[in-house]
Amino acid sequence: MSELFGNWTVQMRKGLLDLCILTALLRGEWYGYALVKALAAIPGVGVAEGSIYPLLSRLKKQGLVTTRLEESTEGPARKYYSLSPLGRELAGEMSGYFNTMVKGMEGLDADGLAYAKQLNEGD
Amino acid sequence: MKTWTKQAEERLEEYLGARARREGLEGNDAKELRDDLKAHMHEEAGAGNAGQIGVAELEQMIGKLEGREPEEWEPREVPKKGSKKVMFFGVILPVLVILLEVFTGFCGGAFFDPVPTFWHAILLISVPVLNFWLLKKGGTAGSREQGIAAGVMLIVAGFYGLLFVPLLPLSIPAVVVFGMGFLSLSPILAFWAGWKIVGKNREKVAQPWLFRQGLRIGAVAAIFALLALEVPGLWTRVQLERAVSDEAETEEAGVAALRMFHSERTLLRSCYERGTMMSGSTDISGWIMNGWKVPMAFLGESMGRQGDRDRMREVFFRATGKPFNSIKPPRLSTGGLVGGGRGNDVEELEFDDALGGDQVAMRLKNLELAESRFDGHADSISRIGYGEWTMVFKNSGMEAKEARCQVRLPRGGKVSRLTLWVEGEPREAAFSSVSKVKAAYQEVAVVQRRDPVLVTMAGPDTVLVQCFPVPARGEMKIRFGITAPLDGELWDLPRVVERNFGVRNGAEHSMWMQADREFTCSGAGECHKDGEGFSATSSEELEEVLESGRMLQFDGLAKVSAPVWCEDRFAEGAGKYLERRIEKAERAGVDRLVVVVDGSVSMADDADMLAEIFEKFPESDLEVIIADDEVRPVGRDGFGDYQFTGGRDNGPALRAAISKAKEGENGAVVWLHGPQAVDLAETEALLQLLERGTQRVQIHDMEMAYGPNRLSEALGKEGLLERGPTLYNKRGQLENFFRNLLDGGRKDVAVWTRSESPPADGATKVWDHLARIWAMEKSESNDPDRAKIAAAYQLVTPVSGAVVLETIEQFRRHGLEPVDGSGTPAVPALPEPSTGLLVMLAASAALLRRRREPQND
Repeated sequence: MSELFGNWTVQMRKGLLDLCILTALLRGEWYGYALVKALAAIPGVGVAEGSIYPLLSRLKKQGLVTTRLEESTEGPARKYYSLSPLGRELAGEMSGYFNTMVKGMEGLDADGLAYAKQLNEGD
Repeated sequence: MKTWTKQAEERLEEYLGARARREGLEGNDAKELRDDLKAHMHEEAGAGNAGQIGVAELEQMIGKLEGREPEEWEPREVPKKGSKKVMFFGVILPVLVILLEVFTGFCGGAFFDPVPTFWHAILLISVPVLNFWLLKKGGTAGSREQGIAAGVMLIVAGFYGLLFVPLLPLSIPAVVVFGMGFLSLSPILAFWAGWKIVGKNREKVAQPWLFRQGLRIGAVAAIFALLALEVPGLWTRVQLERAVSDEAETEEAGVAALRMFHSERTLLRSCYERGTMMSGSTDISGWIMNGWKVPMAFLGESMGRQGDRDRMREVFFRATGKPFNSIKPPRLSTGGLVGGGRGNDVEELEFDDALGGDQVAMRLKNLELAESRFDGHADSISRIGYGEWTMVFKNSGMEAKEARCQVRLPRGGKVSRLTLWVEGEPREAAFSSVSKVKAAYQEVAVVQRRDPVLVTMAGPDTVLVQCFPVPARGEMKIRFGITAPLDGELWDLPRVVERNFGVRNGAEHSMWMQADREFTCSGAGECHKDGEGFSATSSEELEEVLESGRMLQFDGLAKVSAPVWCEDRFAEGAGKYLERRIEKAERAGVDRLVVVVDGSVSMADDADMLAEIFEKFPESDLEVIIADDEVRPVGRDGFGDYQFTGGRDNGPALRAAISKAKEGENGAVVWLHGPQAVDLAETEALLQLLERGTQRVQIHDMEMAYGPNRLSEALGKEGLLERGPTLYNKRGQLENFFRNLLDGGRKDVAVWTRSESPPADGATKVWDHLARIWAMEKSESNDPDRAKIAAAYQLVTPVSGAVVLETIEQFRRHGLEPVDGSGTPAVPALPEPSTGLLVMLAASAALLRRRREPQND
């Protein structure tokens, strides 16, 4: 049972991580380190901090995310991430899709209970 | 800010590399991931409590980043890929090429000198040194230090790389065809290697932001260093181009800019550069200006106007106020420490196009005045001095050279003896017309390349001495004697005002001065009793005394010279006894006195003093103008904001002054000036103004600073210039001079009488230089026989010269006869009073004895 659950969560996290990043960036520009920390702290996401950077890099190459560097006297230059227009559009679509699906799933839960009750009463 | 241990830095680099490989990333993608992760780790380190990040702390952070437990880590050697190539092109090849340049001067002799100064050498050697350090030791240093080193190296290597870009069209085929050409490619390759090294180090450093900071600091520092070294030269080159423009406005603007600021080194260099493709050795600024023309030159295009050296020399004077040949010639190429090879171009660059000519021209390397002595005798009775200057030239070069110099003689003096040593034996000169002696010199010296020496007049009281050949690795010894009347109580000794030779380091000028009565001599100090007369000796640094000259002064001489006579052994026909009496003649005061003050830098020190003197004269008596290339009137409030800079053309101001002086009935011009080292003035227009019209204006030439003067030479040849007195006390003498000119008065006039027997009227017998003084006066008159007289009395005058040839046959072939050695003038072996003085002393002694005799009785 736990192995099946494990596999399922991996698939789930993979799909959701992009959405998490794009959703976070929908709210505005993020400093990379802070974004990684915030993503890694989402309950259930359970992704290693080091894995997020390749993902960000991929999104950047796909033209969904843009970056800018800001020199820092405290250390290396800080990289800030924000959505490109394409990323914003995709984030909107993905978010809408996800929300609809969740709502549907929530509805499925409520309808399912009512249907079961109806069946039981019918018996 | 946290510090990292070296091991932690190494471990981080290893982890980042491994992580990028694990992600299957390469190139920029790998770099981006490494940068992101490195930045993350530094944020993580900054947020932690540890004061220093060691391997343990780093492993904790890596574990957190990876989402696992920390691991144990052992450092290991990582093989470096491609380091041999960058080591060769970034370190080994640059070192080899720098050594080759130092030893052979290859590039310096052919194209441009990449190491013109010590500071350039430091910068250039910094490239392989810093590359090596970054490769081998940089990892142990801080990120900022590595960045600084990288910044310096990249800028210097990039600068030198760019300098060699014009040679690429030559280098690449040379590499392909001959396997050579790496020499000129090496700076470009060194830059490439440096770029690679910096790229590697930038990835590895623990604190890339500090590396970047250091890189900027190093780059800025190197840029400033290069600017400091090259901007003066570049500015000078750019303005020089404008100053030799054919458009008058551009030319004036260029000269004005150079007067404001210039690099004397670059200006001087341009006076010697030849500007052809393979012998156009220049410096870096010259290469930046013209190097890009090299590929075009191979296609037959011109390299530009660099070769116009006469124009450059003119600009040098106008910008600096100094003759270009008054300064040691520049090192045109390194020549190479081994003294051979392609770079040792010195002989070629010293091609002396003024050989046998009338100009002193360019200063020659390897030709030096090695020894110098002056022996002089001043006679207070006849008021005449005679001195002999012996010079020994040495040529350490590979080719025979001609030594040339202009010598300013004492006022009114003439060369009366010339000797050349041939194989250790002294040979005396023949005196004849200028054309004859010049033709003989040209033929024997220049064509046959044998041993002559020639002395001709170059200007007022100025002779041009030239001798050829001073043999390669050999020496040449000459001596010339000078007869001159004393200037009041003074005898201003000769000095060299222009020369084409250097002075041997540490060489001394030995002086022996003697006279019939007590004297003082600058440099030699007080005299002492020596036999019947007095003498003084000195030995001074030749470089110092050669141009500054020395002065002998009697104290307490009677204002007017007593009558004197001599037996004139040169006299032909009747009247071999020659007597001179000084009489006074009236001299009318000047009613229109115009003073021309040279606006050159050489007058700057005297400006305040002159302003104070001018204040004492009303403007109606004395008008002052500054020769500022043009004409600038001066009021009685001094020179105002006028800046005495550069070398100014005095011609226009002299023309204006002559016109103003002609407005009076008896006008005169006093010209106070320094050197006029090049032909700037339109001399013919000036001469026309002086020669034409019913009213003649006298120009009194007052040399405030010694040096060659082309304008004086031109005016002096026509006898239109009167040299003023020797200025040993400028303030007092000038004021008196102006006042005497304005007030008029009486002047000394020599009255000469010839007779068949010695005069019996109390005149004193003196040496036969008196006869030469008579001949000098004749030679400057309109006497049709003046050339003949001058030659007979062995004098170099505007119409006669002296030449020494090697053999009697050469003399005969040119219709010349050398002076009999026994008939030449000489400095008396011992100081001896004039014969007249001896007679007086003898008579006094006899008188005393006669007076004593009765007392003895």
